[in-house]
This record gives sequence, C-alpha cells and structure tokens, in this order.
Amino acid sequence: MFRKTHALLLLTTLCFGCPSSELGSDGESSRDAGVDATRDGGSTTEPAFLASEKKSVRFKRNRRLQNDFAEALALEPSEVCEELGTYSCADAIHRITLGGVEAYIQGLNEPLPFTSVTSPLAAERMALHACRERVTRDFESTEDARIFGALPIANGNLSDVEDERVAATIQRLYQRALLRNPTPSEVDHHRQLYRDIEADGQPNAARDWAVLSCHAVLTSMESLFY
Amino acid sequence: MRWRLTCSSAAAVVLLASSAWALPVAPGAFCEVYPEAPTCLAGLPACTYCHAGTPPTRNVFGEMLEAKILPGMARPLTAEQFLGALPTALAEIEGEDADGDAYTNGDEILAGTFPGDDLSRPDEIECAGKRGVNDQYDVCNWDARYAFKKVMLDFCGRSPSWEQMQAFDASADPRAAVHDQLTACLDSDFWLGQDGQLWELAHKKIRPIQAIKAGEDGGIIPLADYYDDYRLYVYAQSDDHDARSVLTADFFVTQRRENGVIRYVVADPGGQQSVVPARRAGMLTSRWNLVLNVMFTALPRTAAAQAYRSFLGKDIARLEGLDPIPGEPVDYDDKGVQAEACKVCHSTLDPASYAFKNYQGLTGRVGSYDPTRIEDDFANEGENITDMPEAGYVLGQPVNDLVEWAEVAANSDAFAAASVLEYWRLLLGHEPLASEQAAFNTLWNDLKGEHAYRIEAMLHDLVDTEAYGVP
Repeated sequence: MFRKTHALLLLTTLCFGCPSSELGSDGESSRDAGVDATRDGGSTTEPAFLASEKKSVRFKRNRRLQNDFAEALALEPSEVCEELGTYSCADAIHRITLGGVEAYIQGLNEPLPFTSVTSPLAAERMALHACRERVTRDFESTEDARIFGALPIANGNLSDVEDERVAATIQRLYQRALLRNPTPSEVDHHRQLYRDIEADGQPNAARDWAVLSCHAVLTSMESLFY
Repeated sequence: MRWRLTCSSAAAVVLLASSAWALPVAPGAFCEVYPEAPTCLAGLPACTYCHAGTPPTRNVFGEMLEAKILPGMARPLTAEQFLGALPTALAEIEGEDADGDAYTNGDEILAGTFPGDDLSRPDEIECAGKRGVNDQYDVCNWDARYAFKKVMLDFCGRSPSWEQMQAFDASADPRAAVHDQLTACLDSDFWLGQDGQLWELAHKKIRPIQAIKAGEDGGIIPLADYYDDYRLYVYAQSDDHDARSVLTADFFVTQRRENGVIRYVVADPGGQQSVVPARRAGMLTSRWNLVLNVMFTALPRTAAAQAYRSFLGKDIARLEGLDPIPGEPVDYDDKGVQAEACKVCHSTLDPASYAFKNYQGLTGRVGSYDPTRIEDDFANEGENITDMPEAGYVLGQPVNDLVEWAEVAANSDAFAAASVLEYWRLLLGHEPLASEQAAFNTLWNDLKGEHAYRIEAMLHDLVDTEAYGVP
C-alpha cells in the first residue's frame, strides 16, 4: 500500500504539478505562446492564460506554507506537520530546507538563495501530513467535516465518481487552497485519478483519493509559489 | 527600446583631484559625466563597475575604457591626466558593447545595468498600456486582486481565505481595500513579532550569537543582549517612527502587547546598556554592537565597516562607498595600511573608524564610552596611537564624533536608498531592474521627503508600484 501510494503521488504530481498550458506537444514550455495557445493538451477546451512578462514567482517558504496549508485545510498551523509527532516540520526539521533562517545558533541570517534539492520533498511531506490529517478528521466525523464530508461513499469506494457531491468537494478544495474554482478539465483530472486508484484495487479508494487529490492541489505551483 | 545618450554633461568634469592616485576618484568622475545614471543617483558606482575583483584588474568594460584613455601615454597616469581623458574615452565607447549582450555601453549606463556583465541587461517590458487577457490576472497592469493576495502573504504571512477574497471582490474600491489590508498586516505578528519579517531583516545587521547573549534566552557566556538591538530596529521600522532612529536614537525600546498587537515603545533597557545617552548613536552604540564589532581593537574598523554595510548599503570590502580622504590612512595603530594595496579601502575606512575609538568593546567597562580608552588600554598599539583623533569622516564628510557621524549617515541619500532597497529585495526578491529604477528612486526620495522617514508610509507607496502590483 505504502509503495503504491507513493507511485500514485508521483502520478498526481505529474498530472497536476505542471499546468498543461505550459507544455507543448514536445514537452517544451509554451509560456510565450500567449492567448493563441490552448490548454488541456491542445484539445482547445479552454483558452491559455496570457503569460506574465515579468515571470516572477516566489517560493512561499516555511512559515507561509504552513499557514496556507493550515488555512486551506482548517487546521491549526501546529497541526499541519510534525515529524515523529513531535518536531515541527516548518519551524524545526525542514525549516532551512523550506527557506527559513536560523540566525541565533547556526548563523544563517538570510534564507538560502535557492531552494535545495530536498525542498520539494519537504514541501510534499508537509502537504501529505496536512492532507492526511484533514481527510482523517472529515472521514471520522462528517458532521464537523470541512472539505471531504459529503462524498458518496460505500464500502470504502466512491459510489459514483460522477456524483455532483464529488465535484462539489473538488470545488471546495480549490476554493480553500487556490482561492478559485476548478476548471472543468481539472475536475475531470481528479475524477480520472479516482478511477485509477479504484482500478488498483485498494480497499479504501475514496480515502486514498481524498488524500491524493488534496496533495496534488497543495503541491501545485500555484499553491507553493506566489 | 534604445536610449539616446546625451554627452553634454561630459564637459562638466572638473579636474579637481591633485592626488597622484587616480583610481579612487574614478567613480566620482564617472558620475560627473553621467549624473542621471541610476548608479549615480544614490551614491557612486562601486569599483567593480570597471574592475574585476581588486583594482587594477579590469572587467571587459574597464578594459575597453582603459584602451581609450590617452593611448600610447606612459602608465601610470596622473590623476589629472586620467580625469582629463575620462569623459572623451567614455563618449568614444558609448556606442560599443563591451560585454557582448547586444546592448551598448551607453544604453546600459543609463539603464542602470552593468556594461561589463553580459548577464546584466536592460529589460524591455512590451505590454505597457495593454490589458492582459487572463481570467486570473491582469498581467499588463497593476492588478488589485493580485496585489491583495500578495500583501496578505508578504505582510500577514498567509493567503486570504476564500471568504476574504469574495469580500475583496465585492469591494467598491479595490485599491483602497489593498491598502486597508496592508495597514492591518503591518500590525501582524508575522511582520512585527519576534522572528517576524522585520526581525529577519535585522539579522544581517545584528549578527546574533546565542552563546554570548545576555538576558532573556541567554547563552553560556552572557556578554550583551541583542534583543535590545532587534527591538530598536523594529521600532524604527514600524508605526510612525523615524527610520533614522536606528542610527540616531539615544533611547532603547521594549515591546509589549496592547489589544492583541505588539507595540515597541521607548523604555529604559534596565541596566544592560552602558553608553551614556549623550554619546548614544542608536544601534551603533548598543552594548551588543560594541562587544561584537569593537571587541579588543584600538581602531574599530570592523564597527565602521559593518555600519556602512548595514545602514548605508556600502560594503567597503567590495570597494563600495569609497570616499578617499587626502592624507589617509595615517596608520595610527601601525598595521601597515599605507601599503598601496591597502590604501584603496583604508583611506576611506580608517577615517570612518576614528569616531568609534572611545567606545569600549570587551576592554575596560564593556560597552561604555570612555574618553581615555586609547591611553588606558592601547598605549602600546603603535607609536602614534594616542594621536588618533575622535574626529573623522563618513561618506566623505567631516564629523567630530560618532553622534555626528550617525546624523550625517542617517540624513544621507545612501541611508534612504539602502533602507528602501532592503524592502525592495524582501518584497520583490530582486534588485531594482532598469525599468524599475525610476520607481525605486521615487520611493527613497519620498521616504526622505514627504514621508519623513516613516517606513510604513513608504511601504504603501511600494505596494502601489507596477513592480509590486503587476503580475
């Protein structure tokens, strides 16, 4: 299960981590294609975004990430991620990796100028911790659920992935995490993700899907950078 | 876009230097030719503008320029020869491209990029005046929605909630809503609190070491409490306080929470600070700064260099901010700084350091002002050590003591520009681009002028710039 979950994590990252509008058929960036380009793999379903000429986005760094994950998932910042259930990911264990500083003892007075090779791993780890926490709470008590409480679940599976309640859940996730509604193609991607998980024969496909959908959104460029 | 270069100002170069030592006068002479160049607006270009590393090694622009200065004449040139030939030589290479980045030297000089660095180029934003077609962002104009989210992240440390965004979208005056949010965030713990954004800005200036911290959270060898320094810094950056207080305050500051908001207020530091108020110069004379940067030295060069670096944006070790004083360095402490390789910096650094000479670091009464410090503790440091004056220079201007030193520094263009640059880097993540130079210059000029050194007022202006608000 653990290994398959990680394989699915990679899959979701590939599916959602790179906006399709930026990749041409040859995999190269088509950011400069402007409004004439199309999104969604060239299927002309939605117009491409006009790209910023400034091309200036910044990594949110440790504390903003923690606060944003907490806000998106209705958690306290301290509940977002603790390694071994004790050590804060953002303030201690992954602090420097995620762009924080430690001036008093380590003499690191400024953030590292670039994200390190392990920064993506640390960010994904925080997101996964937080998503699992939210999904666990929502599945345990649907009355107090904030995002995933209204899913049509039967025997651990979604009874109908096309159910409006699934779309509403995806919409709620996007609104809370990305401050916008999902596009139709994004909803389709999440639904397809569920089908892939269910086809894998996992016993709690609905729960796995909820965690991985949440993870995919929280680790998107749109969520990690600003 | 190309800039049309006017050279009429070239004739304005004045042959004023009589020193046979030409190089340190070059930045000043350059700015006589190009007073409108961005690099000249808040000071002088660093030696690295023409040199690679330590002079006389030149970068490609310096080499191209050098070849045009009195070719065939025996080297070294006198200062008069150099200064007399410089304007013509600069004019001759304006249309050339020393670094091969497709921008002429003249274009780069006026754009504020480096003509000797092919990675430093004028940027050209093409969409000015257009409206970007994008259902999330207006990528060609100041976008209130984008600015609102950015303000929340930069100053409050988190994105707005979905409900906050909806409320923002319904606001009648989005720009006013952005500024209302900024005002609220400037009181947040993320901005003001311990280890908040302002504290982080202070790290480089204070360079804390927990092991020798005194007081709260003290270390094993408690020597001084740098929390006093942090609090004074944050005080100077917040509310309606004068940013110059970091250099001119004769008081210290404590923090307390009022109605849920952290406030920094003037208060007695409780015996931690030993310099008498009449001799205080803000963070320059805090016990921590003196312990860390004066330590056991008769002539506290490190203290002066750190002050230049922290508050004036000039790193003398990188040949920035050099204003050589004739007759300097005297070398009162017998360190050999009159050697040619040392003079380049020490003719500025030593006279900038004299004003620190009576402030105790780790000798005598730690962190105090002692008018007989040199005679009492350093009489054997050099034959002429007791002749060392307290009067010196900062930014090329004579000063009688450190209090005056701090006032001159705090009122300088360099201080205002360096103060704004800190926030520019923090909020935008880069140095001002050529297309942003005008906005940057307006910000620091207004900080000095209409904003009376109130950082929060400057930040409201910064948020209004295209550099900040255009996605």
